[in-house]
Amino acid sequence: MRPAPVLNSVTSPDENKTMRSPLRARRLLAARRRSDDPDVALLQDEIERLERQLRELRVVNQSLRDELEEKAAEADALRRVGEATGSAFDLEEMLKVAADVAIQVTGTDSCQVYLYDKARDELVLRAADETANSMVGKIRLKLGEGITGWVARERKHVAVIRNAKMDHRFKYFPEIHEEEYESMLSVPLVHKNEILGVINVRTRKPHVYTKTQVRLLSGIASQVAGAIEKTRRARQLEKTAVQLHTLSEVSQAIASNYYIDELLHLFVKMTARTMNYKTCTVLLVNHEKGELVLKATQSDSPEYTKKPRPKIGESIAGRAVAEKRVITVPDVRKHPNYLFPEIAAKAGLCSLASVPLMFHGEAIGVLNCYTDKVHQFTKEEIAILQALGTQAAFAIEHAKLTVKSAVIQEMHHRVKNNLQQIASLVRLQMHFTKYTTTEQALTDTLNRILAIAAVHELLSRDDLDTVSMKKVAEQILSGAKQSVVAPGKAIATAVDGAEIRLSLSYATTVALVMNELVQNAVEHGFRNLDEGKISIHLEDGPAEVAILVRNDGEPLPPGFDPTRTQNLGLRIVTDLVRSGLGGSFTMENVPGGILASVRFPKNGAGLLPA
Amino acid sequence: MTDSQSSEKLRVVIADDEPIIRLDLKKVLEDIGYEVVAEAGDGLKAVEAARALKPDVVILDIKMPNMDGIDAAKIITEEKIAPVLLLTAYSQADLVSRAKEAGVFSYLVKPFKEADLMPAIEIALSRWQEFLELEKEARDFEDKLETRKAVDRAKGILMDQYGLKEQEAFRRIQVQSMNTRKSMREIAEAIIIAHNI
Repeated sequence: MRPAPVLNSVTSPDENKTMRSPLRARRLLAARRRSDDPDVALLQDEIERLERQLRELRVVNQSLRDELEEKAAEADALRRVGEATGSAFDLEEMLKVAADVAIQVTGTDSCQVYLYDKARDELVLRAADETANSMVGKIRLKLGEGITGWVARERKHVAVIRNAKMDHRFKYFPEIHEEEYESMLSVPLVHKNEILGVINVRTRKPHVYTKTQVRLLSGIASQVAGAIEKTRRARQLEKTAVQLHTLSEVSQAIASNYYIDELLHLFVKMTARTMNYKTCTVLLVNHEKGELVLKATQSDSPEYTKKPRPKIGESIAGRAVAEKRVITVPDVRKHPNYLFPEIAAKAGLCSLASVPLMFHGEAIGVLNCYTDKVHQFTKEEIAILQALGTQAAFAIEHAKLTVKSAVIQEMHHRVKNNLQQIASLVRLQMHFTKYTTTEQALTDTLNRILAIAAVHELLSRDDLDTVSMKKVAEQILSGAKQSVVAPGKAIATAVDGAEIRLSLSYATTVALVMNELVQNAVEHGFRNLDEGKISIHLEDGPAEVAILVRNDGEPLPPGFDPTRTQNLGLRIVTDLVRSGLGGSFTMENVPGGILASVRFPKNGAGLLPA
Repeated sequence: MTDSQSSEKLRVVIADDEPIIRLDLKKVLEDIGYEVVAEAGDGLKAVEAARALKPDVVILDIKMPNMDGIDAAKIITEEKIAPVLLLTAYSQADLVSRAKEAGVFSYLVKPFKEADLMPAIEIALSRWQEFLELEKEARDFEDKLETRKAVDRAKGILMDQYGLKEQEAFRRIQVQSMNTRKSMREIAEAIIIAHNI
């Protein structure tokens, strides 16, 4: 700024001496003038030159001192902003300190800090001095709106000397008493080319902003920008850590569960809790009906849980599944595609993210996440939800496969057990009975197998754990008519009495018993008769079940004892009733025919006493 | 075993929740010369019957109500009642290893053949015999070890107290054992107790 040689010459010893005693030099000059010495004129010139130099140096000195002071003030301001940004607990506090420091160091009257809300594309007043403190968070500007908005958009500072409100860019906010201010300096907060906000200082009187003031405010601005970025990154990290924790927690919880309902319940509960949602719901695809079925929710709203099933492709969840993508809605109460806005309003639901549960490229269901107020789902948040959705989809498929393989194992077991039963029956038949024809032997075997099959047939048809004994009785009677009753004979059958349902093992036992009794009646009761009747009557007593098989055929020989016969059928009945059902078996002649009674206690057959 | 079998039938307890299979099993066992002393429809009753009747062998189905065959086998083996032969419709590896852990001595996969039953029982019985012998051997070794430890300590005490040589100390314990008709271990333990007083 100033020529260096001049400064250097100041330090030469001779001139230094002259400079320090100007009075003496002037006296000397006067004396020389009087003596008319020809050298005097030369000397005089020299002295004048030196004096001029002296004056110049004083100016230089002053300006250097000023500059130093400014620099010191600047350094101090930056240090204070630096301290504030380093030690402030939160963003608001840091911005407030920065605003106060800005006023002090720039010598202005007022300061406002606006931050850029990316999601809404707006600048929001986040910190100000006392005059506008109450409006923090309430004043919002679009990018390009007002001087502040212009600065944010253009990323250039603006200085207005007076009458700022007359600037064509100005937007007037009476709430922050803008009419009181004449000048304005507005500087963008920029970090790595990204606009973070704007810092403004104002004065009440017209003011010309110096380069120093601009530099000072710019320095503060860049420090504040750095601090904002740091806070933002810290928050982001914290959030990511929480989300990753959620992810791992949820994955762990659901991966080890084989029961889909339990698994999904845990999933929605944990997702809602850790992600801080009002309601989380899982709906699974039902392909046959082309709709989504609610499988789990932690909502306690009965209306919400009972709302009709959405079709795939319709409603928001239905579209998320059909389009295999996440759909977010800022407010479901106002969205045209949302089917039940009243229910949502009643349940306190607002923003929604519908996340498809993807498994091998197919959406097998959807996770609906609701918040209770307007919420912007961030990119990171959606990524976490997608990851959770995939986890859930895998857990569901895994559980399905596990259940399937358990069912297959159980089927194998049943098949083998049934084969063993049949093998046992055939072996017993071989031991006990002397058949005259192979056909006879095979018919007996066939009927026994069919009796067991009847139970399984009914069991699979009803899709229940128990079998109706009435239906089993009907099947056995109709089977006997077809295979055992000789052609030409007319034997009527009937089933009546109470309905009794038994589990697989007991039902099989009872079916075999009924089969033997019916066969016995056909073979022995109607050997010489052409017509007659066989009936099965079921009785459901308070503690006992009775099965009564009647026929009106030939009476039993005198002294007949079913427990002492070599007839395999009746031995099977005796043994099965005694050791299989813990009951009793009798056969006797009664008026109008023969009555075989099987009675067994209810608790022995896994039934509760009435 | 062959001698005892001819004079006295081997006693068997059987358990299966299907009465037909039980009936068949009983008949087959009786035909090949065993005596079925009890039938049970679940694991709990099988354990009770085994405890009460002390049979020579127990045949259990795996899948039964109240207590399954493997748990019942575990109890019967732990109480050293009899060898267990498992009858199962399962033949998976993990089940076999579970059965092994429970101390099952043999097993048959359903549906079983008449001809397989006798060898399976014989295997269970011979392995059971082996198991009992090994166990007895282990007990004997343990006893010998304890005797030796006690005699060594007693010898030391006698040598210290009476200034005896090792051989002389040993001889005194031996003589005392013969005179009192007590085992050397008992004598040695008495010396140790006396010394500790």
